[in-house]
Amino acid sequence: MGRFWRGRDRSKEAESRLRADRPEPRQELVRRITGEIRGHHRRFGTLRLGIAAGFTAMLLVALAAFGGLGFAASSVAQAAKATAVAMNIISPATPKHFDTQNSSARNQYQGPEQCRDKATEKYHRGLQAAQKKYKKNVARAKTQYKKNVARAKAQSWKKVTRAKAQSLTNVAYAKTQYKRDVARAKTQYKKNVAHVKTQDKADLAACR
Amino acid sequence: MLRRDPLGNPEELIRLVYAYVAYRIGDGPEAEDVTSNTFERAIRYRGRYDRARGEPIAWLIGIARRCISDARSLQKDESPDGLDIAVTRDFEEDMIRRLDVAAAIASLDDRDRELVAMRYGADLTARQIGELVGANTNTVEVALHRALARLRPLLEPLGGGLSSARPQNRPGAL
Repeated sequence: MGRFWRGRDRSKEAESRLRADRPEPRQELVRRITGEIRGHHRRFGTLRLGIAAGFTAMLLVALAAFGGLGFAASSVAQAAKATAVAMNIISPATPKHFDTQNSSARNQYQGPEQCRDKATEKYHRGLQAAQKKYKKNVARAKTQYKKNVARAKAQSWKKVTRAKAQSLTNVAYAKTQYKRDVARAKTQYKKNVAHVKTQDKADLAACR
Repeated sequence: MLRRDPLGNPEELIRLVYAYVAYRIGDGPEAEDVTSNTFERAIRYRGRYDRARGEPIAWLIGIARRCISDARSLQKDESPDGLDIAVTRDFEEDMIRRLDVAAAIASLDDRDRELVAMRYGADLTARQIGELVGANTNTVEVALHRALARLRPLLEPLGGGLSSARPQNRPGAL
C-alpha cells in the first residue's frame, strides 16, 4: 500500500518537474511574434474600417444622385415648419401675389427668353454630370492607389521577415557557443561535487 | 456576430507552443523557427478557426505538428545532439535542471515524446490530445502514464537540484 502511494508521489513530482522546467522562448521571439500578430490585427482593423467607410460613401453618392439627400433635407425642413405652425411659433405662409412668371399658360407658349433658360438649365445639368463623373474617377484612382500601397507594404514586410530570419541564424550561432560553455560548466560542476564528496568522506573517516 | 479571436492572448500561447515544439525537437533556433512558422500560418488561417472544434491552443498545436513534420522533411537531423539551450535565465542551477529534463525527454521514442510535449509542454488535456492524435482518452492516459514511468528514473537523481548534493541526515555523521 505504502509503495503505491510512494509511486504516486514520485509521478506527481516528475509531472511537476516536467512543467516547471519546460523550455521557455526568448523574450525577443515572444515580442516579435506578438508584434506580428498585433500588426496584422491593426492592418485588418483599418481595412474593415475602410470598407465600411467606402460603403457609406457609395450609399451617400447613390442617394445624392437620385436627389435623396435634397428630398430628406426638404422633408426635415417641412416637418420643422409644420411643427412651428402647429405650435403657433410662426404663421402659415400666405401668397402675397399670384405668380404670373411661372404659369401653365406661359409654359405652353415659349418665347426666346424661355428657350435661353432651358439651354442654361441643360448647361448646368451637363456641368453637374461632369462633376459627378470626375468625383467617381477620383474615387476609383484613390482605391487603386490604396491597393498599390498595401501591396508594396506587404512586400516590404516580407523583406523584414527575411532580415529577421538572418539575425536569428546569427543568434543561433551565439547560442551554440553558449550551449558548449554551459556543458563545460556542468562537467566542471560534477567534477567539483565529486571532489567535495571525496574530501568529505576522508574528513568523516578522520573524525572516527 | 463577433467571433472570438484565437490569437487574443498571444504571449501565453507562444510560450505553450514553444514548450511543445522544444520538447519535440529540442530547445533552440529550430524550435524558434517552427514556432514562428506556426504563428505565421495561424495568422494566415485565423479566419478558419472554429471555436466549436476546440480551444485555440489545441488548434495551434495541430498547426505546430504539421510545421514540425515539414521542418523534418526539409532537413533531417541537422543538429547532432538535438539539444540546445535557450538563453532565458543566467542561473547555472536552472540551466542544469533544464538540461537534465531535455536529456530525459530526448531519450523517449517519438510517440511518447509527442504525448509528453502535448501534456506537459502545451498543457493540453488527455481528451484534447486524443482528438489531435486520433486516439481515445484512455489510450492517451495509459501511454502518458507509461512515458512518465520511463522518465521518472531519469529525472530522480537530480530531483533536489544542487541543494541536495550534500545529504542533510547522514547515518554515522557526528
